[in-house]
Amino acid sequence: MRRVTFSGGVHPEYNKNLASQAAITDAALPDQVVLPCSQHLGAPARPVVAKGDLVKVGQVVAESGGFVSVPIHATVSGKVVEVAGRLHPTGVIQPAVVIAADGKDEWVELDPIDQPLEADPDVLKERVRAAGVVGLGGATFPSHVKLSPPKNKPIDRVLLNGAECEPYLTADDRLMREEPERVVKGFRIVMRILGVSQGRLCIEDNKPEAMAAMQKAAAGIDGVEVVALATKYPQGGEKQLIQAVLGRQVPSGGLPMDCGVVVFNVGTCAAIHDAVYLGRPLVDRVCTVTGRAVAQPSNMRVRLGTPVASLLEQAGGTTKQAGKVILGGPMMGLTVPSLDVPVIKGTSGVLVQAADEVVEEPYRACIRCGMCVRVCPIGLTPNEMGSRAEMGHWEELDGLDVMDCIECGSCAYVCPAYRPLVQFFKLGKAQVRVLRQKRKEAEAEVLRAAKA
Amino acid sequence: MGFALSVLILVGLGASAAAGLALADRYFGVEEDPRLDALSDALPNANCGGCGYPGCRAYAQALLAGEDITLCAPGGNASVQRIAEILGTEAVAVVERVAIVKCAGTAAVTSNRAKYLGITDCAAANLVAGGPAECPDGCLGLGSCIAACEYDAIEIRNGVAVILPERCIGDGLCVKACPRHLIELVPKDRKVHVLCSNHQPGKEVRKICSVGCTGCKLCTKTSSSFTMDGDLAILGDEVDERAAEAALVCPTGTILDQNMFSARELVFDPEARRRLKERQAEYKKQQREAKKKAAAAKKAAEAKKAVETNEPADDADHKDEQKVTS
Repeated sequence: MRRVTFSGGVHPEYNKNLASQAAITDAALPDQVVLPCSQHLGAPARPVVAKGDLVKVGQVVAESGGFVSVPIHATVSGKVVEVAGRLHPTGVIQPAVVIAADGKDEWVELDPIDQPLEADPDVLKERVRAAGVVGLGGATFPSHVKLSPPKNKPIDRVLLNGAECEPYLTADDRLMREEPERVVKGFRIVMRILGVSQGRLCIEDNKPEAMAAMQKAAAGIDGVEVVALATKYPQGGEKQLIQAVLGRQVPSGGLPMDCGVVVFNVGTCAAIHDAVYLGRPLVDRVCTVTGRAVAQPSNMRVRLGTPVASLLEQAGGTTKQAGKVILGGPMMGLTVPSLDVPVIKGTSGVLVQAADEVVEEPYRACIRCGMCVRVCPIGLTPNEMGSRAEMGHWEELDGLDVMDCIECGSCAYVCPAYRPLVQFFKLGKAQVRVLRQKRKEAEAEVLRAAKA
Repeated sequence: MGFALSVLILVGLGASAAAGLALADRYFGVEEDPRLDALSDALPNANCGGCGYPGCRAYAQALLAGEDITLCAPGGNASVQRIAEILGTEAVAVVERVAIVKCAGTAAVTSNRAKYLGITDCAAANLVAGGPAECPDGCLGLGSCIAACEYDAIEIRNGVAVILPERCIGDGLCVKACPRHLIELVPKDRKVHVLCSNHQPGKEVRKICSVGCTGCKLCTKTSSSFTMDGDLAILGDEVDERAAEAALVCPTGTILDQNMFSARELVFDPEARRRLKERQAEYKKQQREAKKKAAAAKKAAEAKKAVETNEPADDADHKDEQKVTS
């Protein structure tokens, strides 16, 4: 089979074999869940329950806070203990709904849609929104927004993102191997809503079993094909995936819909399937618990809001002295300062690195070797950008297109001087945003003065 | 002959250039407000940018356009006076201000929840999982304020920045540099400060820091200058004479009285903390004795009153009797 790919990128140690042979198991029901109101990109949800309320699984506990937002559902049945600030996986305290489980696991009445492939696309779309589905690959962009492209941006292709290019993570791999029907059915709903006849299931070639299973599940469906991708990081980045599969480029500052494409992750499609075929809101997700410091690396179906500590316990605890706990993969994941943080919609994995795996080397000056330029999948100049950010020259940094950086970490991965390039760019982006805002205000001021 | 010719040519060139310059000055000359130079001179010309303008001359220009005359912190009252004279407006007394870091969380009293290995910059550290400090409003101690300060007026030890008021000129550059908004410009003659910025409930603060404000409100009971913002004591610009006493009642030693210690002593020196505890114990003893004395005095007064009231009571009785009889 022909393998497609993008330019740039790196080949980190994948370490997928740690967890790839562990079938998905159901994690134990947690005693207490913490559901942050901000589990997605966009406006945080507004809590609609109060302390002391009794809730059932699937009941809305927070309503969506705008168009780019989704509701949040109770993931256990029980009593609301508190609606207060709790530690969020990003490390800051954010409002959350805390529910103590009663252990009965009572569900609200579910309302499946009959014959969804003939149903009205708007009904399906509303169902996806009401079920709280967001991109489960990690970016957590509300799915119904992606399913509502403006009229002037026609969509002609839908891609299933089965690359799972982050090292260690195997949740999507297992999902495709064990429940390919669910994924493909969800994918067809997406095609139905967007009115697109051509879909591609894109899978990296280091997952042959997943590819075979998906091929079987998609056999006989018109317009749906499996595409093999070369194994390379960050193959699962939307822009890289589109470039590899369709040869199109997403314009700077734009979205995939600007070049007629929408990309959905494997887990997201499974969640869309549940929302439509079962009427079941997003209350759990498959999460890989792995790393060299985990006793039994595993893939678990976890109720959202379960504390990370409880997941690690169920994976047999940590073997060596754990060095660093990361939510997500090692390239783009977030290091967490405490094990009390909950699993949220975007938590694709919990990675525990052993202490000897953590690099504690201080960073040094750039030696201008240019390795970062060679691996940048966007075609930026991370060396130049890094030094601008170090010196605080935000204006120049903006000129080097820092806002197009996808923060994949390829540059920092290859840097022989251990420069924390992604951190520089995250800081730089924040500063450039402030700068642009100021510039905009100044321009508005000039215009006002000119009018007067 | 050749010599005379060259002299003539040079003189001619000179004359025509002079004429050109004179004409240019006459027709293309730009009128500059004569006050601009004077205003420029009245400012300190440190070009610190604290006023929000790129340099002193730019601020001078803005002054001519009617900008607020009190924006120059380093210039202080003297500058304002001269600016007012030049512009012919009324001088306003400005309060001279210095910066203070509202955190005393050294490694001795609070801790870090994670090891931070990234960029040595507070804003960058704050982006990584909300910063390595246990306290969400605590000083990160990475020195973004030091980098901003042009006067070497900030010192960091044990993870906390302290501003040296004798060096601070109050330009406010550090205030802008601090991503956690811990630095405030306060009147130079205000000696009492709350060295904490954590708004969390007291029980949370107690878990992570031994010198954080727990919201016990004892200071508000001592002096009306203190107000509560959630569980954090806040001081305004103006303080009454009892505010300094609050430093002696604050159970966590969060309140600094600069008549007793400098910020540097209280934050960096464990000996100062010990002495503060002693002073607080002494004050408590004094208060107790004063209370006892007051109680005794009250008792005495009451006893005396009782004696006194007994007598007039008799009188009253007599009066009543008189009334009745009359």
